[in-house]
Amino acid sequence: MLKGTLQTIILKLLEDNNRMYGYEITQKVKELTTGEIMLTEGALYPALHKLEADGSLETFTEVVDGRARKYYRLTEQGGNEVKSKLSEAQAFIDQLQLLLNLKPVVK
Amino acid sequence: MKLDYWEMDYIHNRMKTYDIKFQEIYNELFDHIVTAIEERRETYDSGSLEQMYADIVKIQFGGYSGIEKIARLHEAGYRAKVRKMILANFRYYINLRSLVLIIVLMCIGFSLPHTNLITGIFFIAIFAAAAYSSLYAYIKLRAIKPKGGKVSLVYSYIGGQANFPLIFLNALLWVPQLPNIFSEHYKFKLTNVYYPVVLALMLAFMIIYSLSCIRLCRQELKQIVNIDTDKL
Repeated sequence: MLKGTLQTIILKLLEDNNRMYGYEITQKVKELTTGEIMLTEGALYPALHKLEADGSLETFTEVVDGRARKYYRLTEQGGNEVKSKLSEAQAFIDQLQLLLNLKPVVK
Repeated sequence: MKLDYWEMDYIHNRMKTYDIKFQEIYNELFDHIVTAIEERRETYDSGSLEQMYADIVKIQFGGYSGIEKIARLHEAGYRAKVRKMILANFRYYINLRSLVLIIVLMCIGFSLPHTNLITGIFFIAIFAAAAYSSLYAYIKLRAIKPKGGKVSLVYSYIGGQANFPLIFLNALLWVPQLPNIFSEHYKFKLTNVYYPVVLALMLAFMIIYSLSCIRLCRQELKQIVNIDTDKL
């Protein structure tokens, strides 16, 4: 995975799903990419905590099956950041396509 | 398939070997591991709990050191978050009303004589402002009840911020004493080295900082949930 894209993926998933917990994020990435991208917890949690420290995410805890579950959701700042990160990612993909002469995949 | 009490207890015991000091970090990792095991059992894996636990920790978390690294980074992230929040709260309270308060206090400071009595009165006022945030944090943060020898991340860092004004006040009192402190006949005496206007400015900032700490406490206490494992 390219450096910096993990944060974009997390922000986009939270934008689509409103609130998610750590394990749920790893499973969602696995499901959407049909197992092509396996997000490890060693990469996920530092990225989540960095986004939280930057003010892009906020957390809250709920008791599920007798244990505390920490959920993440976007803040207003995080919501704005998704848009800019997505346009950055799109611009980067366009550049890659130009450089490597990739053809769009038609399914 | 949900894990039973003894299976959860097994995971708690295995997780005791990691150097995870803070309850909130421990809770998040514990929930992740338990959920992963439960989902594995529901979908495809009929292996032993021991094996599943070992696989998850090794493959997903990068083993013993991986878990401890996550815990360290979580703590560092939280520390950075608290710093940003306290600065944001400080900026929130720097408004027209607080500017009026600063100006009024400075005007009072300029008009007062530079005597021991005035210095003493200002120090009492600064102490009251400083102690207020400490006391507020102490009372409110008692709602957090960590278990099993852990300490709360929120308690540690928010409590630290709330106690900062008292530490600052202590420094304010002792720094002028330093040249004489090693003297044989030294006796603490409140010196009026600070001009009243300086003390008035410090009082204003101490009030604003204390309000920022109280707001920080309220913001962070919203996310606290205590788990009483004895009642499960």
